[in-house]
This record gives sequence, structure tokens and C-alpha cells, in this order.
Amino acid sequence: MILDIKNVSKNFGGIKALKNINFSVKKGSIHALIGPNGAGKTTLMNIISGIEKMDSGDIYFKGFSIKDKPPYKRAEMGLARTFQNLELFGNLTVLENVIVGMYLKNQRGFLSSGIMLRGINREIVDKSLSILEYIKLSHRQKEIAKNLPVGEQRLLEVGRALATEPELILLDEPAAGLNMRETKNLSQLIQKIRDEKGITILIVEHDMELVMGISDLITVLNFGEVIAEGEPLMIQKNPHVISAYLGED
Amino acid sequence: MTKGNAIAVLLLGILVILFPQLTTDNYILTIAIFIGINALVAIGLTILMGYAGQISLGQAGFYGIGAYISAILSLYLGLPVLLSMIIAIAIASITAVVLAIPSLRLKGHYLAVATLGFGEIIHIILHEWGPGGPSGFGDIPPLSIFGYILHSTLEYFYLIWLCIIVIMIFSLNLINSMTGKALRAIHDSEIASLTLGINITKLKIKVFVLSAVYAALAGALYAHYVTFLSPSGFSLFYSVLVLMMVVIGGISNIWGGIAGALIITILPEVLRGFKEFDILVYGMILTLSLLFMRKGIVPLIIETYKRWISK
Ligand SMILES: Nc1ncnc2c1ncn2[C@@H]1O[C@H](COP(=O)(O)OP(=O)(O)OP(=O)(O)O)[C@@H](O)[C@H]1O
Ligand SMILES: [Mg+2]
Repeated sequence: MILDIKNVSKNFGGIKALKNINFSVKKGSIHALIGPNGAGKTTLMNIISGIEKMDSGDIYFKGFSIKDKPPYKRAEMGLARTFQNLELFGNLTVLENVIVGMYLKNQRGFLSSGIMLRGINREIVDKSLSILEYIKLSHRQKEIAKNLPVGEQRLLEVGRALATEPELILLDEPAAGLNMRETKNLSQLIQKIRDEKGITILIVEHDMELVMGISDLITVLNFGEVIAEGEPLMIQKNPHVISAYLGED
Repeated sequence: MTKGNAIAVLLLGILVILFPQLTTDNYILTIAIFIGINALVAIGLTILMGYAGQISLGQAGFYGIGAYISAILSLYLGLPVLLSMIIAIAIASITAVVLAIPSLRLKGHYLAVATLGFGEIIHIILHEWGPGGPSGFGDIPPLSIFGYILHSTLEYFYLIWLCIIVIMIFSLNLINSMTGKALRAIHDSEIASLTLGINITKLKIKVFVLSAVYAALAGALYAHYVTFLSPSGFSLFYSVLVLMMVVIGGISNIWGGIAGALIITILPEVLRGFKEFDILVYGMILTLSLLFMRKGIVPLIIETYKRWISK
């Protein structure tokens, strides 16, 4: 198991966003986290990546508790993510966004940065370009990120996450706002990332065709609770899941 | 460093070499020296504001530490001037770290408040316990570099502007490096930066220390050039003046620090003709330029130039 969520709870004032969540993500798998709007999926992603604190419980990444680690330490350990409400570096170019993703493995002190004659070396630029090629955004490299259409912005977030050379990527609704063709490409890209790079994927997504098509395991969240877990076919037939999505209770 | 900036640095270098050929007037050289000293402080604050998104209202404090400590060490303890300067800068940077750690851990503009208090405390200390108290002290040894003592205004002019060129090269390289990219990234999204492994707090602390080092260097150069110090030049007024330079010059480009220092330093000289109205005209010019050039002069010039080129 690469990720273990143990008894995680989170309240926002009176709202119980997460109630005693337990599940694990297997190394090398594509694991989906689904559920109706407001189920707590993004909250859990925020807690795993460390930008939100949990009230109680613990999270283990590669067997180590990361509860008390700041987000940048978790990134150092090999955790990357994308955001439902796009968090690109809007004023940087597409290429620069990926270059910043390589900061982790290429950071320098102020002194050596200040006396360096060449800014960012060829190797970093080449690596970033090959990532852009991988996500099929090479033709946009010089564009300012905020001028891209939503679909490409989502792709770029994936590329930037890849640049950190992670072991686990959290994707929060990567297909939101994408058309059918783009969604299909995304679906292939996600599988490629897992198959070729061996990176584990935890994906939150509302597009059921995408989820059912690529997931090894699905965990279903409703009102902050895990209501089901299983393989796609089982989840599709699960009466609790069906009623949660139909809004009956 | 980008090509454009490399050319700009080269042009600045040529200008510095040629400038004394254009004038033999010591008054003008003296003003050029003060522009340079102010520019050093302003460049540091530009990086802090433009690249770390933080405001300091206490740059006069670091400027004062640089000036007083270097002066005291060389005058009363007889240390070599260069060594005194280095120690003064080191003390300023340690002070900056101590100030930054608690205020930059928190979100928001705590640094502005903390530096405001810090600047005032330094001013009071200089006023109450500095040599000569409010009236200050003189006989500070002039700058000497490995035994060579600088005497003439011309020599100080060259030294100070050489410092600026070195500092500009260093700063432009920094901004163009991975660290600089990370700093710009933080501006657009702190959350995303964190999840990419960027230790935002640490970077902000480093930028603040850098701004303190530049200010302390400027202070030490000032002390050994003027050879006389009194607390009045190290008050909140000076911190606000530097802030003005940065805003007028433009925070999004570090050349703005030099442009702002140039304008704010020569404006009072140019306005002498207005006699008792000079403060009024001074205030009006500043207000109008803030109203009509929000981004500052340097970014405005670059934008205009780009528009002109593309036509
Ligand atoms: N910062 C916050 N302050 C207060 N309430 C919050 C906050 N963040 C989330 N919530 C609430 O917590 C609950 C879970 O929200 P969350 O964003 O995690 O849902 P989600 O499953 O990601 O939904 P969606 O599918 O719409 O993205 C919601 O009721 C939401 O209103
Ligand atoms: Mg969500």
C-alpha cells in the first residue's frame, strides 16, 4: 500500500465534511474516489497533500505518517497533485510552469543562483520540453498559462505534477470542462502515466465513463462517509451507491 | 540573465565609465553617489516587494545598522574598514533572520508591522545610545581597500556604481534562476507552489535577508563616504522614501529600484527653484505619478517600447 487513510475526520464549523474515513491505495493502481457534490472528496485531497489539516486520524504515505509534515515535505517524499479549481501559475508560460515543477530536484541556494551565468540549464529545459511532449502541449510552450483553454490548463497541471517525478499523483476532477475527445485523450494519458512511469494515481472524477474505464478500485464517499468500495462493475451495481447518486436516502 | 538585461547592464557599465567625462562638477558626482547609495537599498526592497510580495517599512533600520556598526568598529576598535563593513552586514542579516522567522511564518502583512517597529527601535537606539546621541559623530575613517585609501569623490563614484553593477548582475541572475521562477510562481499560487515542494516561508525569509544585506551595504558605504553620522538620516522617513522609490520605479522590474532612486534623489535638487513651495510640488508630483503610473516608470517604459516596436 502506498497510501493509508486511517480514521480521518474533518469539520468545518458545524459541517462534518469527513467522518472517520478509512481506505488504502495500492501501489501501482489507478484508484478512484467518487461521490456526489459536497461529499468531501476535495477536502480529503487537501488533507492528503497537506494544505488542510485534519481534526483527527492519520495518513501514511509509503508507510510513514505524514500528518505533521508540511506540504513541501510531502512533495519531497513523492506526492503530487492537481486542483479542481485550477491553480496554475497564470502569469508564467506553459514551459515555465513545468520548469517550476522541476524545482524540487533542481533547487539551488541564493548564492549559487546569483553567481550562475546561465539561468536554467539546458538539461532542465529539455526535460520540461519532453514532459510537454508527453502531455501533447509542446505547441503551446511559449503561451502564457492563463490564456489556455480549460482543457489544456488541466493537462498542464498534470504535466507540472509529473515534473516533480512523483510516486503518487492526486487528480481532482481532471476531466471537468473537457469535451469528449479531450476526455478520451486524458483517459489514455492517465493510463500511460501509470503503465509507463509506474506512478500510482488517486483520481476524483464525476465522469463515470472515465472512472469505470480506467479504475482498478473505486471508493465511494457520501456526506463525508465511505459508503462502498470495490471494482467498477461491483460499484455500478451497488444499491447504496445508486441511491446516493439518485439523491434518495 | 536574459539578453535584454545583459545589454542593459553593459550600457549601465559604459554610462558609469563615461559619466565623469561628461562632467567635472563635484556637486553632480556627489548627487550621483547618493543616487547609487539609495538605489542599493531600493533594489533590495524591489525584490522583496515584487518577488516575495512583502513590504518592509524598516529598511532604514538595516541601513542604520550597516552605517553605525561599520563606523563604530573602524573608528573606535580600529578594525580595517572592509572587515568592519562585512561584520556590519553580517549583523544586519542576522537581525533580518530573527525578525523574519516569526513574521513570515504567518500569512498576511505581519512583516510590514514588524519592520515598522524594528525601524523605530533602531532609530531610538541610535538617538539615545549612538556616539554623540542626537547630534551624531564624525571622523569615521574613509574607505580603504587592501591599504588603498579612497579620497576623491570620483573614486567613491566609481566604487559605489561598481557595487550597483555587481548587485544588479547578482540579482538578475537570481531572478532568472530556478529560485527566481519559484518566487514568481509563489505570486500566482502559494498552494500550488507548496505542493510542488517549494518551502515558501524559507524563500521569503531569504529574500528579506537579501534586502537587508543590500541596505546594510548601502549604509556602510554611506558612513565611510560621508565620514559623519547622525540618527536623523535613519528614521521612518527614510524607509518611506525608499518605499516611494520602489513604487515610482516599479516593483515588477528590479531596474525600477535604480530609476526610483534617481527620481526621488534628484527631485528635491531640481525643485530648489520653487523655494518654500518645494514640498508642495514634490508631494504633487509623487501623487500624480502614483495615480497615473500605477505600475511604475520602468514597466511603463518597457510596455510603451514593446508597443512601439510591434507597430
Ligand atoms: N474551507 C471550507 N470551509 C467551510 N466548508 C467547507 C470548506 N471546504 C469544504 N467545505 C464543505 O465541506 C463539504 C465537502 O466539500 P468538498 O469540496 O470536499 O466536496 P467535494 O466532494 O469535493 O464536492 P465537489 O464534487 O462538488 O467538488 C461541503 O459541504 C463543503 O461546503
Ligand atoms: Mg471537489
